[in-house]
Amino acid sequence: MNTATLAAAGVSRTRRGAPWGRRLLILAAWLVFVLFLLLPLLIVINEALKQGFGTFFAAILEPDAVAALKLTLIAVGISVPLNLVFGVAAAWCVSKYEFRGKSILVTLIDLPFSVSPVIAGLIYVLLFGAQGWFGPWLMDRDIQIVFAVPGIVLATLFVTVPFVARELIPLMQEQGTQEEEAARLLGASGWQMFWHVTLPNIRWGLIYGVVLCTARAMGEFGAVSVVSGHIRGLTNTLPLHVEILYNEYNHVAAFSVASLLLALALLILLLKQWSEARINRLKAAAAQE
Amino acid sequence: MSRPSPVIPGFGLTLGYTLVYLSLLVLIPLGALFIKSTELTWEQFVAIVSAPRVLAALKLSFGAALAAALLNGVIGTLLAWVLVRYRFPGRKVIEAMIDLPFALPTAVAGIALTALYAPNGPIGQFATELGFKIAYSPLGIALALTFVTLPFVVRTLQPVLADIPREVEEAATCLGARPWQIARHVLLPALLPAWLTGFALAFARGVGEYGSVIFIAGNMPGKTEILPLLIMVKLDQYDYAGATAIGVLMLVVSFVLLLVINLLQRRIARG
Amino acid sequence: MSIEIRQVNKRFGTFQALKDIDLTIESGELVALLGPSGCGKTTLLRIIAGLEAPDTGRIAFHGEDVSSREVRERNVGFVFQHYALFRHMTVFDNVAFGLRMKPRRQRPSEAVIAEKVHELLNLVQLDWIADRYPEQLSGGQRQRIALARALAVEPRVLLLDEPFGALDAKVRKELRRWLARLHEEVHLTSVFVTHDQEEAMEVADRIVVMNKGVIEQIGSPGEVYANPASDFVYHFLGDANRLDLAGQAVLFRPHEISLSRQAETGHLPAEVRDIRPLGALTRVTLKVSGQDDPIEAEVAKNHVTLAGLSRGETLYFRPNAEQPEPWEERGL
Repeated sequence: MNTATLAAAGVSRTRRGAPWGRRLLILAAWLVFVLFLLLPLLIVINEALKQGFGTFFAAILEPDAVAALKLTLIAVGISVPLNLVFGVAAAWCVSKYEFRGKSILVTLIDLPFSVSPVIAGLIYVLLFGAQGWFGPWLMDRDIQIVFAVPGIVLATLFVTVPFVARELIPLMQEQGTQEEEAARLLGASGWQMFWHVTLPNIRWGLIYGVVLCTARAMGEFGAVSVVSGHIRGLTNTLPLHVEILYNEYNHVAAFSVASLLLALALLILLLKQWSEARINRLKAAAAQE
Repeated sequence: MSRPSPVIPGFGLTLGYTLVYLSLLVLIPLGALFIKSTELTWEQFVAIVSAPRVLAALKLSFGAALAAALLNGVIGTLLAWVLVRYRFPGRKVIEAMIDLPFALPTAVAGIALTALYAPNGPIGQFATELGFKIAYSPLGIALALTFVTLPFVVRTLQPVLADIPREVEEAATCLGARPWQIARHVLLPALLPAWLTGFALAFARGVGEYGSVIFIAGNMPGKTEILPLLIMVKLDQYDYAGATAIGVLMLVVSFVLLLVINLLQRRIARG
Repeated sequence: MSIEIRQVNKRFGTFQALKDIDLTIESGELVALLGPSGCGKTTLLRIIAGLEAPDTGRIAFHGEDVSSREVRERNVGFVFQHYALFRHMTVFDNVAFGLRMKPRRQRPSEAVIAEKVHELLNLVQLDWIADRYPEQLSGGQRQRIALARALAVEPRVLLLDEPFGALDAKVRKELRRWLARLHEEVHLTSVFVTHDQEEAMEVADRIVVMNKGVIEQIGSPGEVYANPASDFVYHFLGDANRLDLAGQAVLFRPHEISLSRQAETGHLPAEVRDIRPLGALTRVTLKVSGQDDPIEAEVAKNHVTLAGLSRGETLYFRPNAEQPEPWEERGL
């Protein structure tokens, strides 16, 4: 620590030992961490294991829970790849070219972040619900979107649209276009350039975006809740299953399933940490040149 | 230098795909909400959104989101400062765990916080002894929103804070500035735009948040019922017009507030 | 392979980057595009490469119009200012890239590619770092790898954008001599962009001096230095003194001066303000009464006037251009 920080912490006089301001701030940070982050995490595990591992596993392996897990995986499996392709395309046109209305486009890409998930669900009900615009048309053809799996996928797609694009845009802007130009000058076709030069350079950003996107897709509650029929074993995702169990006062089962989601969340944090470190190295390398 | 280069292909393809995808998934459905709301006359719209239950929910949603964003403004700044400027045991753990609220499904956060703050919960019981409630009260809602929006301020402040060269503070010290003067005249102006961004993100997310709140809120109409829940209630009653009207109200109020924050930010940036 | 540039114009928005550029670069020549930043030299280089399209005008390689050719079909070697090495590939893979991107039928076998890459790495004297990644290399090494990569596809012309700009002074000197020697060996038509007149003088066969989007002068290093075509070229190619004589200005370079301790005919008195030994030369700063700008004189360090000279003394000087400067006649 240098003198400026010491001074900023109000301890410029104390040369050695107790920089009180600094210690106090660190202590406060720890307190916030324990109170806001650690305790909620611990209580999930505690509640889940209240009646031992037997009940815990029974709740997780129960058919409805397994069906909910499957549906969650389907929603993630569809929405993440689609938003991945979208993210790459959007980041490509935003970072490699100048055009009018670019800042508006960037704002629109971020739009789903500032829309309440409940509204995200609502708009699809208005479009595809029984009383919606396409409702009668869909009903004639016996296609069900809302209160069925397609609706859940659509709602999940909506809330996770920005994740990949958001991570890629700054990274690709930082890296510039020179390596792509060099590849073209050396005779690479557009596809070869993308595959051999661009993609390897952005892969950690991609992974990072995908990790965040997966987290949200897996845990989305509000939007999915609106368009799900809440039919056990059919249109329930894991978070919705937690809600049902909880509302039935089956707290142990609810927390058991919740701890499964918690484990996935911790795994996601690990992946995120790992890909983030790689991106920072890439960015440092780009900045150095 | 990122001048458009004629040698990099794919502009039409990627822009076209981006626009079509966004339109189909986001813009047209959102547009449908506004078009749907025009089926109501102005009087009907006003009648719906000025119902006491709606106004109470509006006040609660925006009030709790504002309180949570402000609280995050304080503890987020604290965390960002400590994580960027100090090296101490456990720093890496805290750093990694900051994003837990983003990774954790909101329903899980909701039941975990309810268990913590319920009148008989590990923390809630202290409040009970002191004669007040945390869960099932606006305070619980604000706390849940604080949890889910915790990373916003920290994550927007961190890079900016790391970019402020130490030399600036050292120069200020050499020029005779006191610590609080440095904080007021050097650090604050540099951090304010990013702080506002984090605040706005947290606020917007807080207004729309549903999953983490409904468990802890108690959901008493007129008392602890938030706007997104009210939309759900209307939908369950097949009152699509009511749900649409409240949805439009939420979007419009949020956008106006974000616009104000954005303008404020530009004024600050211009100095 | 000669390069002909005819009537090229380029605008960026309202900014005229290039105006009516006409230039012919002979086969096997090493030409420098010299000018201050923003003069359009890099834009011109990028237009030759096909990285930028001119608004009007055309580019021909050896009489064959390539204006409408795509960049990958022009077969130019391009070395970027910051090298643009592929950071996720080893040095070997970087150099091999162009060969591996060829259509399958023209693509050499991996064995041939390996042979070719090692040949090139030998040429740039860096065969021993083939397995490293760009971030593990020094600036000078990256520069040479970028050059090897550009040469691998056997380009018709070689274009270099500020090839020494990102290097420190010592490496820069070494590398530019090396590049001049390499050009002797390969004899490829080469164009490089620089803002450093010393670099242009030392490396190029011909110098194209540019300013504000137009060509000010084209000529050999000796020509442009001795016979600058404009005020701008004179100032850009070296330090210049300006002396006001009864409303008439005389321009001369620091070494174009004769000094004396005694008053002589045609010599003006001036006060010695500073004496700086610079190695083989010593620079004396002189203050002429009635003129704000000081005069700088550079003379051999053992020049007779310097013996025992100290600040504050009076020296007598006379501008001593080897040839009459056009300015004197024009009365600038």
